[in-house]
Amino acid sequence: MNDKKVDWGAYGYLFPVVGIILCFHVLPIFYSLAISFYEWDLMSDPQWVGLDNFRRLADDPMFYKSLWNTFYYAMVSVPLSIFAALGVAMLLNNPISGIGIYRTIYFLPVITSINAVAIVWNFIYHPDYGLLNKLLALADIGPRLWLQDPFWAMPCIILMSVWKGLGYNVVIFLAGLQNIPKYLYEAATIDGASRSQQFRSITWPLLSPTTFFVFVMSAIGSFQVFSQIYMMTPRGGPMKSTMVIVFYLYQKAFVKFEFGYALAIAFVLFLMIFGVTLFNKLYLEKKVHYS
Amino acid sequence: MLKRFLGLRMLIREQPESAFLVGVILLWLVTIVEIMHDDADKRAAAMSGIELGTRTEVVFWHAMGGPLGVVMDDLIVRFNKEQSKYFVRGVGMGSYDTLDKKILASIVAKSAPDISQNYETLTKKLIKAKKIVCIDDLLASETEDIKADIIPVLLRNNTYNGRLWSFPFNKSVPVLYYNKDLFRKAGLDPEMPPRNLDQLASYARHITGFFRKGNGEAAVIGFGTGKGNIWTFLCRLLQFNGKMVDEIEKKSFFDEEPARKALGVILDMVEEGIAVEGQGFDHQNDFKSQRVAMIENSIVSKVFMEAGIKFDFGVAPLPGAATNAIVLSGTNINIFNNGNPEKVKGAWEFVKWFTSTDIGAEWSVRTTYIPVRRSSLKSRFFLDAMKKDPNIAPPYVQLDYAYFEPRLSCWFEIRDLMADFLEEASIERGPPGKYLTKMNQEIEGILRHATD
Amino acid sequence: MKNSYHLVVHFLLIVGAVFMLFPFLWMITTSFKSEDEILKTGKEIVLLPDAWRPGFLNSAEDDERIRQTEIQRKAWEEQAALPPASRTKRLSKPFSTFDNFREVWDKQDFYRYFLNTLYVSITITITSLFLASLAAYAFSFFKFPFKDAIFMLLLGTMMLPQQALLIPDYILLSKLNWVNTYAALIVPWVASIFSVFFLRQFFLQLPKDLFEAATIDGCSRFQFYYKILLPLSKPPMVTLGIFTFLGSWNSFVWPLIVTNDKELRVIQVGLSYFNSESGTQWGPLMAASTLTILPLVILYFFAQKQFVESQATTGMKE
Repeated sequence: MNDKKVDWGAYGYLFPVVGIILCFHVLPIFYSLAISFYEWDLMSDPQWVGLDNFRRLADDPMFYKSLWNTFYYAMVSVPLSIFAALGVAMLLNNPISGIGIYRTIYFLPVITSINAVAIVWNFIYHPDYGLLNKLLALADIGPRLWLQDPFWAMPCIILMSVWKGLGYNVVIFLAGLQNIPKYLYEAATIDGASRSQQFRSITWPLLSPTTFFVFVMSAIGSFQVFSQIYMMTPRGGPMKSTMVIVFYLYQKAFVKFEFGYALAIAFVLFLMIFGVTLFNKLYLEKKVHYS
Repeated sequence: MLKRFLGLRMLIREQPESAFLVGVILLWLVTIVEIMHDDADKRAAAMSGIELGTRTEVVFWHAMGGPLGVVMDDLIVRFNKEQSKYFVRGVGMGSYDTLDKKILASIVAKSAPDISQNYETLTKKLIKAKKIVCIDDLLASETEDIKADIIPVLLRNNTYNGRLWSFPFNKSVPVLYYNKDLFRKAGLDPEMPPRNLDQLASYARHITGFFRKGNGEAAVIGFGTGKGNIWTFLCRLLQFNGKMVDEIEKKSFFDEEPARKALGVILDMVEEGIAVEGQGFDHQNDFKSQRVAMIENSIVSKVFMEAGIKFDFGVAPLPGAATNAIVLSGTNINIFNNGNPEKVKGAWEFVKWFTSTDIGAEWSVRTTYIPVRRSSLKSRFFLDAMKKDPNIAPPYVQLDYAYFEPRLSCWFEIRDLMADFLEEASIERGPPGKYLTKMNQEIEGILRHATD
Repeated sequence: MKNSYHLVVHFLLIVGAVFMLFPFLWMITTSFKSEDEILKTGKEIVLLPDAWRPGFLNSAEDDERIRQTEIQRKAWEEQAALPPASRTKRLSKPFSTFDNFREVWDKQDFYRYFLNTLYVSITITITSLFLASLAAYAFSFFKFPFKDAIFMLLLGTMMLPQQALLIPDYILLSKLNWVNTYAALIVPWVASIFSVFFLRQFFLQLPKDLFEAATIDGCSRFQFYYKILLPLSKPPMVTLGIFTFLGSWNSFVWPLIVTNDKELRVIQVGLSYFNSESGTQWGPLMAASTLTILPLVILYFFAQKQFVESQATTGMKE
């Protein structure tokens, strides 16, 4: 094929996907951006307010609280999930029997719907009838209110989220681990390197592209956490302790019907995610070791 | 011929992929057209065994789920069978929350239903946006004086600036449920439920103490309610002769003695260990499993709880304080103006039928909602039911001192704020003033900015 | 040494597996319990529902319990046979094993929700795989103006939260007259950027000369796509297919907003209706959750081998 020749036919191949994306994603984004400069309760006509929504956002304590809660969620759940998944993947990377069964079990929560499992966890966390308090009672630890307790609500949601997403990361790490050539370990064993030395000098550096991928995907995902919050703490948690940014956006839009304001929040979130992605691309990725 | 017309033959020979794509797109178009013709109205009509024919279709969005939805569907089917001009299609949205969102979305999309159940806050917005029909205009052509028969508090509740903009539909009252078996065991008279908050506390104290085990743990707690329950907080506020808000002066009265008492009463009981507060509807489950001897809740909960209750229970008016007072809960009906007078007429015929003396009585008995008309309360159906179930009458005693929540467009925002503060109070259980002062300030802040 | 190490590995993996499985186990056993059993507050943990126990323990106590339940059931049936007006006592219905499931299946039209969800998910999965592979093919093998710009634009749209797009999308749907139709459930989701991205990644790993050699042999671009590319990309397609299916089976907010009628309701929306005003009935709720999860588990067990293999070959590299 000639290098200079332009394949006009390519647009035909792209048309269905790009067309639908344009209609249902790109146009609405511009529409939303426009609305974020208005005050709009859906009933009456939108009122132009310029940058007012963004100015209001700048000194809205609940916005900062939701930002903080989102960071809290991300800061705890992302590393927890990565290290737990890496641990499980390394265990599974041994030549033992029953790998298939283990892998199936660990992956099971990933395929289930968040609505259904959130209901199950709600029941487990229930202060009176829940399993967790009953288990703790065996160890003579007094009952807690869990999802109704401002301190515990977020850790409870994080635990459930890590449980739900663990298997996905395990599978990715496992694939990464299996790409590391076996002879490296054999050579290291001959050199008398211990398991922890092997991990530090072979596994961790060679796995870094995978870790990077998992980190970026989990970070973006955790900034957008919503469903479990909505299902487990429908009002944003006791004393707003699980009010994360997307939940705040949702509440502003669909409970208080302040659409302009909600979309202003959406754009700040968009910029944040964009920033994180850019930071990852420009800075972190350089540190990643590609074999 | 078609091929030549489109130049397709060449296309197929020269560029099979493009032809294939065109094929797929055509297939999609056909599917979409097919889907669009999949008419929801016809489907619904076919399912209820009624020929749509020349009937005008009236779409009714409601929020009645579970056993309430069954009664609703039942009555809608009956209406459709009893006349041949209109076909009412009821669409259950599962919850008020979803219904609210759907109504707003449908207004933006200009695809509103013909009738829906709405809270006053939304009605107010709908009046302002000129989306609904004024009921007075519909009443004008009626020969019967319907207004005279409507229960007075319901009439007031639906009148805005002297005009009836919405029609009463499903309002409920709060009541006290109590476990007669546990009352008997604890040596209390099962026919003498507590009449005021002092009695409630002493009964609760007695029951909790009576069922205390050797290790000091109480097997039964006297009283249960919802955590940060705004509804019963407002009831108690009025019982202590308090006031809620003054919309004209933009003032609220939650930082005053009645409000502090209303909140303090419950906090004190919880602190003392004779009452528990459950998340959401948890106290309902506590009552069913006989962990709690008395709860306060909507009378409508009876419909949901009854099947799971395995003991003798009673329903009593909500215990009062300095005076008796309750606040109504539930929604009214709005009839939308979608530009088709036939649909408006059909909607009104349905609402009128639904709230008529006999049907209203049946609806009321089967769902426990208050009937709209006074004559329903005296109808044969109602009196018969009352004889059979002693728990039917008590709620209606309260209609003489029933009030409703302020009808402001910003009221839901205020309610949401109150929920935060009441929740905080129930978690920390500090002095009521600590929460109410700040709550009042913020509510007045909202009132000042509101454009009512 | 090796053996004891493997024992430790097994032990750790089993502990983890119990943690992963227990919620499911708890959900399933709870769905067979009566409300009385569920609402017990004591400290003891009872895993198995009473209804299952006779088979396990044949004690005299159990026999007595079964006898009592039978008496209760007879009394209830007698009452229920009478017209409502002439019932003398208010009796509660005794619990039988499948009552929670019956409550869900009969009263909520769950089978209808099932069919709807199945229809929507399958249509989305097949269409989106087809369309995404076409686009990915173009992105990885063709030269055309604005290629990178279009690709970046697509990627950029992944960063905005879905919740922000609900209302604009809803308005668009209503302009198309699609609100409350299957089209609303399907069409916006047949274009998946993630799938395009994922497949492009896979296509780029294929040797470039493959395409050139085929073209020189007189293979048209579309022939290359369906004769060579599609068979080669079976593993990533299976992976994507499963993820797309899961995604549409599990989607909730969108169907909740865009459909109204019961006849169009999907399973996640149906599930959420249990969690509403009426107070929480844990038994039916757990039964509904079980029914929602079950098809996915079955699908997963069937597609598992394919899935694991494709994971290994695609490697999910960025």
